[in-house]
Amino acid sequence: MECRADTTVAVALWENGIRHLSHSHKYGNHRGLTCARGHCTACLMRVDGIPNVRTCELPIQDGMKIEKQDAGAFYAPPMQKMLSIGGRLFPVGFYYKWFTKPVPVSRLFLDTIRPLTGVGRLPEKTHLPELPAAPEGDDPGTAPATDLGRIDTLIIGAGPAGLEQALEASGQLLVVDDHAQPGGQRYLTLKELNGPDGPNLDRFPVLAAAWRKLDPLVQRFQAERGTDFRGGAKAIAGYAPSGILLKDQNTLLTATFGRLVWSAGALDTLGLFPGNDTPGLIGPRALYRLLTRDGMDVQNKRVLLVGSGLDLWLSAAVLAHRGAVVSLVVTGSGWQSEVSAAVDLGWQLTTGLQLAEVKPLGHNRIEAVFTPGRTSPGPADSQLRLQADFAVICQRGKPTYDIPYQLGADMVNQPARGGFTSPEPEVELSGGSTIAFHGEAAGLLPVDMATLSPTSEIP
Amino acid sequence: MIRPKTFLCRCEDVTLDEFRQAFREGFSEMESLKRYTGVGTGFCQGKGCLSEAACELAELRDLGPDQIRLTNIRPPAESMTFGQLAALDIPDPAEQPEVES
Repeated sequence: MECRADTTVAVALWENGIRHLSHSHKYGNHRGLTCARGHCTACLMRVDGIPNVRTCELPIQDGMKIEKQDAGAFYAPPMQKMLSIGGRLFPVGFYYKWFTKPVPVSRLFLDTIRPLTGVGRLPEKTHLPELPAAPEGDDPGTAPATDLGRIDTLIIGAGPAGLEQALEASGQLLVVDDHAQPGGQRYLTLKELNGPDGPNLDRFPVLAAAWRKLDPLVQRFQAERGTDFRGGAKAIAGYAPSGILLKDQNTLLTATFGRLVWSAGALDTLGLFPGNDTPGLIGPRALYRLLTRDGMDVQNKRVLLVGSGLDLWLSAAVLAHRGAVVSLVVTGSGWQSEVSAAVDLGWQLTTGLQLAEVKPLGHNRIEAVFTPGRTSPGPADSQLRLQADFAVICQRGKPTYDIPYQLGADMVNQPARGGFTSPEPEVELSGGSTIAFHGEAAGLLPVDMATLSPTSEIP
Repeated sequence: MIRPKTFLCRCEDVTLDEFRQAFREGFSEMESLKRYTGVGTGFCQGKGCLSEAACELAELRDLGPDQIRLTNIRPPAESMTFGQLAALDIPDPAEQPEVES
């Protein structure tokens, strides 16, 4: 199979018409690119014999052997139908709680039935030497993790919130972000739209304002603190009271901190509706990565955008700029000037509807069914069906919370802030170190981060 | 054509109906629901589902959404080899403070 260089495995497959990257374990549903940032399970594949590789973040290389992690025939349509109907006869927590006793049954299950579904095949032996070598000698501490020691201020997430904190920090500083450059999840997208080849943003002043705030921040950070930035790295674990495990490409790094600034942003929220796992449904943060990091081709593709807020308009603007045919279903209120701009630009736009169901349409298209919203007039049983190559669902994101929680910070579910967030803006940990929450990770909306001062109150 | 399912947890293939069924079967705490249905035990450790599950459970129990607490989130967030894991000098989890469920 041929593809562009300089993209990820998942995008290369997508552009070759292969969206279906994995099967779900229980029902055998098709799964495809979802988060595009190494959080979910949808893109796990077997690459060069190594199982469970996240293909959304793996750069494509010549001669790679990429396989689905299951026996395709097992999940053929008749079997899927059987699983779907038969599944109702079994208890909810069925598939990994049964078949454990007696031993012969367990063997049969583990050796025969489980491999059929593709779950749990070990790496091929020929590839074992390529895995990181075991430490030599008796000292287990020589490899493969590097200790960065104690860092006064450790900032996870170099979006606007993290950069503002970095510029105020004193002492030793380390700023970590999973993007190669500082600026956050919307940086490259805003840069493209506000660049010399960008579209006229007069009708979308918020997108220009966001760039006017973000760009000087990034430039000041790079001038003053650029050497303290480590791009392409992630925090992957927190060990109480102040230990952090970082992953930089394939290197592991450990560090402790005096003050942790948690500004890792938010995760896409797709919502709960029938068919919410259909391949081709993504969130805006995934879209920004796919377009600007991986260079996904959307020329002449029909893209459905559902939702509201800054991300809806940023997604629509960048997709239209890249030559996609956008069709918007705007939920919620406000954003009147953007709505009229979209109408003037000839974008298909509908309001007063809510997403009721999404279905796959063949292998590479989807159909979304909308019903009238609660407040809209008209018969309640009327439906609008829209077909598209893919859809972007722009809802309030879920603040990231996992590492601070592992470090001992309390997290409370606050739907008004998007999900689990810290009730306090700053938390003192048992060892005397602190965690401060900023930006979307603290429950702020991206539009506030983009246009207002960081001290603005959460609505 | 089978009507598509509403998935609560994509990693472990738990549908919203299954979660509600488990609640009707008597699992009323987030911890026991997690163990029974598998919600939040997958690769993402709940990034995709725990706030939705907490809101759903709060509604089923007629509680405020803030009344449902997080379950444990096991590190690390990325898969790594046993070799890498074994070479890490990290505190013994047994010595870590217990997290309320």
